[in-house]
Order: sequence, then C-alpha cells, then structure tokens
Amino acid sequence: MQERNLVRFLILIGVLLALLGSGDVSARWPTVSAQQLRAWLDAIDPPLILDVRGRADYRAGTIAGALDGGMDPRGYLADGNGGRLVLLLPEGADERVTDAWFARLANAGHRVWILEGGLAAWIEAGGTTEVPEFSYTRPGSVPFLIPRGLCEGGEPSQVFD
Amino acid sequence: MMSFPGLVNYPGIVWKRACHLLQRVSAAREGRPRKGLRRPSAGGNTPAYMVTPLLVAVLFIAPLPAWGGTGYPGDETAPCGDCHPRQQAEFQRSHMAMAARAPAFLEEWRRKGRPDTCFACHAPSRGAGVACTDCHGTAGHPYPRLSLPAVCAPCHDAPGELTLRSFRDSPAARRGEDCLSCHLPGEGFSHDFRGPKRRGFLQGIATLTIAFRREPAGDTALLRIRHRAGHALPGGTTGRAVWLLVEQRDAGGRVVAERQYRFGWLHSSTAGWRENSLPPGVGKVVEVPLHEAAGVIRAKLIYRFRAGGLDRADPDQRVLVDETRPLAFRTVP
Ligand code: HEC
Ligand code: HEC
Ligand code: HEC
Ligand code: HEC
Ligand code: HEC
Repeated sequence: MQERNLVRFLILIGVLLALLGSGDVSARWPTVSAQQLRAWLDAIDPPLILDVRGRADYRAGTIAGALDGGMDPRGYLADGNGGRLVLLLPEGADERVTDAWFARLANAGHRVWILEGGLAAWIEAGGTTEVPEFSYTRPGSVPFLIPRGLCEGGEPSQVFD
Repeated sequence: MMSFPGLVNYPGIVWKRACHLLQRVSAAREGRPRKGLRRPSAGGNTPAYMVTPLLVAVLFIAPLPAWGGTGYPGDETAPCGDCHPRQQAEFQRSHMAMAARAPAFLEEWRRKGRPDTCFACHAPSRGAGVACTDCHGTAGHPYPRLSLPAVCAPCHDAPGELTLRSFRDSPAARRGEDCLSCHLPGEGFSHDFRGPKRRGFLQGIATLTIAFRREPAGDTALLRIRHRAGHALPGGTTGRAVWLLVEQRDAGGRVVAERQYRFGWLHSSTAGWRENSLPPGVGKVVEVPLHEAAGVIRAKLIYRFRAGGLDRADPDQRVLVDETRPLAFRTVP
C-alpha cells in the first residue's frame, strides 16, 4: 500500500517538473480558463480584460469590454485603481514579454491572470467577440429625429459620426 | 391590440416566486398575518374597512357567507387600497402610479394632439397612471400569480426599446435576479417600484476606467464604461440617454480638444433605428486620441431623461461619474 502511494507521489513530482520544464504558461503565471472567465464576467465586479495582441488583432474582434493595451508593456499606463485583470496574449507569446507585462501590471496594483489558450479557447468555450467601435456625436450637426421609441414621438438631436 | 414580440416566461423565476408565495400563503393559513395585508380575521388587528359603516353592518348581519370559507372578502368592488393599504401607499411613491399626470407626459401628449394611444401604457385603466389591475388583471381573488418579466413586457418591451431583451442576455439574469431584485428591493413584495428618478438610485451605478497607451504615433486615452443595471444603460425608452463628455486642457487651462458620445437610441429617416446603448456587464470601451498640448483629461458621464441634445434643459439630469486625470507622464523627459 505505502509503496503505491510513494509511486504516485513520484509520478506527481515528475509531472510537475515536466510542466515547469516545458515552459507551460500555467506553471509560471496564474491563469484562468475561458469557462472560468465567463463566470467571472457574470459576477457583480468582473475583472478588466487587457488585450495585448496588437491593433490589427484587436480591431478584428476581441472580448467585449477589453482594452487595447498595445504590444509594448512600457507604453501602457494603467488606471491607478488596480483590481483584477485578465491578460489576453498573442498566440505563442514570448516568455520575456509575458514577464514584462506581469511586472508592469503588478506594479500598477493589478492582480493578473492569463487567459488560457487565448482568444481561440475563448471562442471555443462559447464566448462571443466584438469589433470595437468608437464613433462619437458631432455637436451641432444637422438635427434629426430621436423618437421616444415606444412612446412613438419625435425629438431633434444629433448625428453619429 | 398591439402585439409584443418575444414574450418569454421564465420557469425558474416563476417557480422561485411561486415557492415564495406558497410559503407566505401557508404562513397566513397558520394564522401569522402577511406583512402589510390587513386580514379580516376575528380579533387581533382591526381591518381598515371596518370604519365603513356599511361594511360593518354587512359583517354584523352575515359574517359567514360573506367570507364563504375562501379567505377572501366578499366585496370585490371596494378599492384595492381599502384592504391592501401597504401596497397602495408604496405604489403611490412610484412614478408608474402617476404616469398619465406627469408634467413631462402631459406636455408631450398635448403637443402631439392628445392621442389616445399613449394611455395603452401610461394609464390603461384611464386613471392617473398604471393601476393595480393593469398588472394583476381583473379576474378578482384569487389573483393569478404574476410571471416575471412577462408582466412588465407589454409596456417595457416594444420597438425602439430593449429593456427586456437586454435583460435576458445579462449577467443579472444569469445570476438568477429579476426585475424586482433591483426595482423592488426588500422583503415581501413591496410595491415601491424604484427607477432612476428616485434619489440615490443612480448612485454608483456606473464606473469609469481610464488608462493610457503610448505609441510612436501618439498617445491615446482608453476609457471603459461599466454599469450595474440589469439591462442596457439607459434602460427604458429612446428619450433617455447617457452622455460621455471628454475634455482635454493644456497647461494654461484652455480646452484643446472636446468630444461627446451619446448612448441610447437614434433614428434617422435614411438609416432607420440604431441602437447604441451601453450593454450590461462587459461595458463599453472608447478610445480618445490625446492632443499634443493636453496636460489634463476630464471625463464626465451624464444620465439624461429628456430626448434631444445636451442643450435642452433637463432638470432631472444626473452626473454619474466625473473624473479628472493629469497627464503627468507626458512631461517626463
Ligand atoms: C407593475 C405591476 C404591479 C402593479 C401596478 C401592482 N402590483 Fe401587486 N404585485 C406585483 C408583483 C410582481 C407581485 C408579486 C408576484 C405575485 O404575487 O404575483 C405583486 C403582489 C401583490 C400582492 C401579494 C403580496 C404578498 O405579500 O403576497 C398584493 C396583495 C398586491 N400585489 C396588491 C396590489 C395592489 C393593491 C396594487 C395597486 C395599488 C398593486 N398590487 C399593483 C406587481 C404589481
Ligand atoms: C375587501 C378587502 C379586499 C379588497 C377590496 C381587495 N383585496 Fe386583495 N386580498 C384581500 C385578502 C384578505 C387577501 C389575502 C388572501 C389570503 O391571504 O389568502 C387578498 C389577496 C390579494 C392578492 C394575492 C393573491 C391572492 O389572490 O391571494 C392580490 C394580488 C390582491 N389581493 C389584489 C387585489 C387587487 C388588485 C384589488 C383591487 C382590484 C384587491 N386585491 C382588493 C382583500 C381584499
Ligand atoms: C401598464 C403598463 C406598465 C406595466 C405593465 C409596467 N409598467 Fe413600469 N412603467 C410604466 C410607465 C408608463 C412608466 C413611466 C412612468 C413615468 O416616468 O412617468 C413606468 C415606469 C417604471 C419604472 C420607473 C419608476 C419610477 O418611479 O421612476 C420602473 C422601475 C418600472 N416601471 C418597472 C416595472 C416593472 C418591474 C414592471 C413589471 C412588474 C412594470 N414596470 C410593469 C408602465 C408599465
Ligand atoms: C441588476 C439590477 C437591475 C435589474 C435586474 C433590472 N434593472 Fe431596470 N434599471 C436598473 C438601473 C440601475 C436603472 C437606471 C439606469 C438605466 O436607465 O438603465 C434601471 C432603469 C430601468 C428603467 C428606466 C426607467 C426610467 O424611468 O427611465 C426601466 C423601465 C427598467 N429599469 C425596467 C426594468 C425591467 C422591466 C426589468 C426586468 C426585465 C429590470 N429593469 C431589471 C437596474 C436593474
Ligand atoms: C408601449 C408603451 C408606451 C406607450 C404607447 C407610450 N409610452 Fe410614454 N413611456 C412608457 C414607459 C415605459 C416610460 C418610462 C420611461 C422609460 O421606460 O424609459 C415612458 C415615459 C414617457 C415620458 C417621460 C416621462 C418622464 O417623466 O420622464 C413621456 C414624456 C412619455 N412617455 C410620453 C408619451 C406620449 C406622449 C405617448 C403617446 C404618444 C406615450 N408616451 C406612449 C411607455 C409608453
């Protein structure tokens, strides 16, 4: 009996070592699965999602509500309020880059997790993506109608840019 | 009759309420009075309508047939408030009870030539506003249990409005909350329906995250708006809107750049309806390029009740968030 337990223990150690050796993300940095992230986003106080895959990828579709942090950790200045943050890394992200992001965000007071499997895992888990859009209203533009909707009325207002 | 698409019952929620109600009914059967309800029982507290001499006489002459063993009073024509004073008093505090007497409503109604159609929602029973029977029906006691949010849908879910639709796909619904969790907080089916006009209701419902991205091409402010409503913000009709005003000033305090964002519904004769409200949960991100001379950025989120532009006076308007950030990182060599 005791021998079997010892064997199990050794196997466990072996597996852990193998994971560390392979540079697997989950062994070095805290991670969150796509499924878990979906649950987090339904909570009263969800984490901030920071997309650091770069402009083109961000614009092509990202997790709704994610910020585009750029690709250089030194160029990102966090909101001073800290809080939980989930990092959306590019596929096959470099370890040094990941370390740099972690240091940068931890220094800004964030508790950081990496999204396991990135956007692909998110989509596979049934998560939706969104193409960000930043249109704004030009003041004084030609007035047109904003009806009251269900009240079926009409009020002048402004145009989308 | 109008038809309202997408009416859906929520078995889970109905069931939850049903259990709740069953517990309450059995509590009443065990002789414990239901909160706020004056039961016509012998002894204990005196029913409100006893003061009416007619009813006193009826009770005196034929007490038993009047109740018929059902537990309900015989007089279905008496005003609901006679026996349900708590619900009556609480409901009076809600704007729903006066929806056809509100100055804003009357003004618009008169301007449009007093159309009858308005009352389909503002006062279906032609009183001062929404009445007890508009939700509970006219079947009389025992009233059927209401299922949420279906009972709210006829008036709160219509073309150009998406309170219910966005609620169905919200974190609040997935957490098992319903309309009453936020609009009727407290125990025992209070009827004090609260909305954004109630003092303090909008307090802390929205938060703004402000971060920055520096790139060779220039600096950008990243703004994320998040809110706690169980549906899109603003909930309700197109007239309501949330505005984000972003202002950049230079070292001398002069405004060097300004932007306005309006969240709500829009309509144009060419493009038709366009929905641009803030979704529940995840929030909305806005990027603002920083002016090269800007030394400070200020972002203000405003909730407005009146349709139309910012220049239109709105006495009820509320500032949800007002944040200022110095751009100190730009002056560092
Ligand atoms: C906007 C819709 C609405 C209106 C208007 C409304 N109620 Fe209700 N009422 C509800 C809901 C929802 C419940 C809880 C679910 C149920 O009992 O079906 C409820 C429950 C009740 C109950 C049972 C309470 C309990 O403790 O079990 C009574 C009695 C009642 N309402 C009386 C009234 C009276 C009297 C009025 C008018 C002053 C009124 N209601 C107006 C929605 C409404
Ligand atoms: C003469 C008194 C009286 C009047 C008038 C009255 N009710 Fe009631 N109502 C009661 C009593 C008593 C109960 C509680 C029955 C129980 O606990 O089993 C009740 C229960 C209810 C309930 C809970 C569901 C049910 O039927 O048990 C609703 C909803 C309700 N009343 C709505 C109304 C509305 C709406 C009106 C006006 C149209 C009204 N009542 C008028 C005495 C009255
Ligand atoms: C018969 C139509 C009708 C039904 C049914 C109805 N409402 Fe309303 N409701 C209105 C109208 C009209 C207003 C606008 C009142 C105003 O601002 O003058 C309103 C306003 C409100 C407000 C804002 C109240 C305030 O004091 O600012 C809330 C919250 C609300 N409704 C929730 C609900 C919920 C929850 C339900 C379902 C249980 C419901 N309503 C059912 C017509 C209705
Ligand atoms: C998690 C909390 C929450 C839930 C659940 C919720 N609401 Fe709201 N509701 C709010 C908040 C906060 C506001 C004010 C900001 C806004 O307009 O969205 C609001 C606003 C509204 C308004 C606008 C009233 C006005 O006078 O402009 C209506 C109507 C409304 N809710 C109806 C509903 C209905 C119907 C449901 C159920 C389908 C519901 N709400 C579920 C929090 C909630
Ligand atoms: C389909 C239902 C419905 C119809 C029909 C309707 N309304 Fe409304 N109205 C509402 C609801 C619900 C609100 C509460 C605010 C919200 O949900 O945004 C409201 C709010 C309003 C307000 C704002 C009240 C305030 O205090 O801010 C005005 C004004 C108004 N309605 C006017 C009208 C007029 C005029 C008509 C007829 C041309 C009309 N409504 C027809 C449902 C309706």
